[in-house]
Amino acid sequence: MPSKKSPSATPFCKVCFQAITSPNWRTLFGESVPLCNDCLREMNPRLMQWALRYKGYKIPVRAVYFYNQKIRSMLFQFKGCADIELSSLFLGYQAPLLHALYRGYTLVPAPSFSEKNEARGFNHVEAMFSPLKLPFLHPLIKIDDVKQADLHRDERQKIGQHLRYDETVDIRRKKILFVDDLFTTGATAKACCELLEKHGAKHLRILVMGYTSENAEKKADRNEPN
Amino acid sequence: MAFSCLYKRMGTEESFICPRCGNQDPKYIGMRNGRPYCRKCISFIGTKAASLPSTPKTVELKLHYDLSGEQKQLSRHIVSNYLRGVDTLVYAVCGAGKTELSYGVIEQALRQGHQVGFALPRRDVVIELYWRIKEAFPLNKVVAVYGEHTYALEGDIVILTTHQLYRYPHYFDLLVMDEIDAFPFKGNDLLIAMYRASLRGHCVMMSATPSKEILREFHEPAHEVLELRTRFHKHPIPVPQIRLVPHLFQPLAVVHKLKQYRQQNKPCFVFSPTIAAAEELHSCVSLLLRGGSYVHSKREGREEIISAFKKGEYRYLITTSVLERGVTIANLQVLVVGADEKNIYSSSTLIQIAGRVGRKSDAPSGEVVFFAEKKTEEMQNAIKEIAFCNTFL
Repeated sequence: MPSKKSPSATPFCKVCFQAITSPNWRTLFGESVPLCNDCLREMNPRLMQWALRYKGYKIPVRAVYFYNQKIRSMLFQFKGCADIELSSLFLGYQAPLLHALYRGYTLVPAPSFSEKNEARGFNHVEAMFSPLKLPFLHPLIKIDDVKQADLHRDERQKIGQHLRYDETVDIRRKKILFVDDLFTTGATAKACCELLEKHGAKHLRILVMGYTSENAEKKADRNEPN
Repeated sequence: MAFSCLYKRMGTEESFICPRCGNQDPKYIGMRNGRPYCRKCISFIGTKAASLPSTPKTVELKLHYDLSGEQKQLSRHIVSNYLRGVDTLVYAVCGAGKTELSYGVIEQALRQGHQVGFALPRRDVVIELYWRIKEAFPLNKVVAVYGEHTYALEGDIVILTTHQLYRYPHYFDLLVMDEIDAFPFKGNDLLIAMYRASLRGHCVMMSATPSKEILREFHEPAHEVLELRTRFHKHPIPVPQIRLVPHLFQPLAVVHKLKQYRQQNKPCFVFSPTIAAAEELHSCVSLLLRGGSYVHSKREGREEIISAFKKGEYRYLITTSVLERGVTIANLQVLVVGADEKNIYSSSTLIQIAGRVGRKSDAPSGEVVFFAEKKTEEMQNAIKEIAFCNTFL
């Protein structure tokens, strides 16, 4: 008979399933996240910010992670294997800070093909950013199942063709924060921001989970274990 | 309110048992849209193999060499065990020709139209075995299935890594498993559960260094352990020598030995405990001795380096334990650096490493040298075990 311990008695890391033994200073400033120090170090969170410039716009972008092996495998498990338990771990200890930074904003997740979401059982971008505790709106629709990761740099820029704006959603005079999981060439972000800007978004900001250059993405893919 | 949620959730977690891997530890169970799901085996997703009709096949077993008398007898024994429905563990020394022992039972199973699988923990070994089996069974469709190579899943004989077993639930009438004591299969409940789920008929397990748990399991009824203590060429297994050298001077001792082997024109493996140590050792040794390379699990183009080594393009190869099993190279010599690292070199690992030497019948002798600062129990056990097997000659 296995001993039954309540999960709250022995906290364990939801990524590597090891018991969390060493304390984390971040728990002093907010709720504790079921993530061990080793996994956290491998994820290597660092808030980066820069500006996305195009067609005279200048939109501030923030990224939580630089795309690495750990983030890649976690994202795969989360998106590909539909492991929803990981959703709160991505923002992790960054959530209170980002909540304060984006107070008053409305979140617009990057559109994903609805059939894929149904197969998975949840919208991965929404699940990932729900710890921010900010309201969501879904004005953007993706009408075709295209995957940016499979495409070339030039092909990626044409993502706008596959996007539609849902006219029933009103975002006029609202502070909009566009959120997505990955930022590579910025093609999706540009296309989406253009649509949002056109329909009257007031303060437009972008927040992404992982930032990567195209080369870094390929390199991480190549170094996959086993 | 909050507590009632927790209570309800715990209730469902406890009653949930993963249908695939049999996990019921609440630690590994997550909730998705109010339904529990198993997080332990979640990364094992992919297309499942379609089941093929079980029609008897024409088989032609083609071997370029004859099995020894003992091998033939053992092979017949395995076949009769399979027909009686008895699981067999073949406990044979390294270089005894375990793979060839299984050909008889594979042939028999194919004749009866059974689905045959051959599972191994390591990917490099799967690739090597694929060519050997393909040559031995020219009339049958042989497929190799391993990570990033899963285009064809169905065949008469499926050779796969243990990680791919999840694609074949309740599928194999005969499952041959080699190197069952190797990482990552050893002690991995998940892979063991996958193996049990994929087995429909009976299994033949093969190992040179089975763990106590496996031996205990095979001493139960409807199981049998067959032992083979000698190599097919009837020459003794080279017994390792221990050289006590301070850690700092081990690279120099390695260079000294490598120079000797170079004069005798013999290739050599140098085993190193960790990836970092292998790279360090290579940068050190390559200054004094050219014509070598290094491999480890993270090295790109590993397969090319190994095949170049087999062709004789390199004189020595520094490696981590990736090459500890399943490699057969003529006239190979082996050096082990830092053999006293207890966590890495267990006695079974050392036996496997020593088993790389003298595998071919035209070069049955060779040297195995352990460089260490002190003698560990593991090293002595390994030497004792090899010497014990040699007494059966």
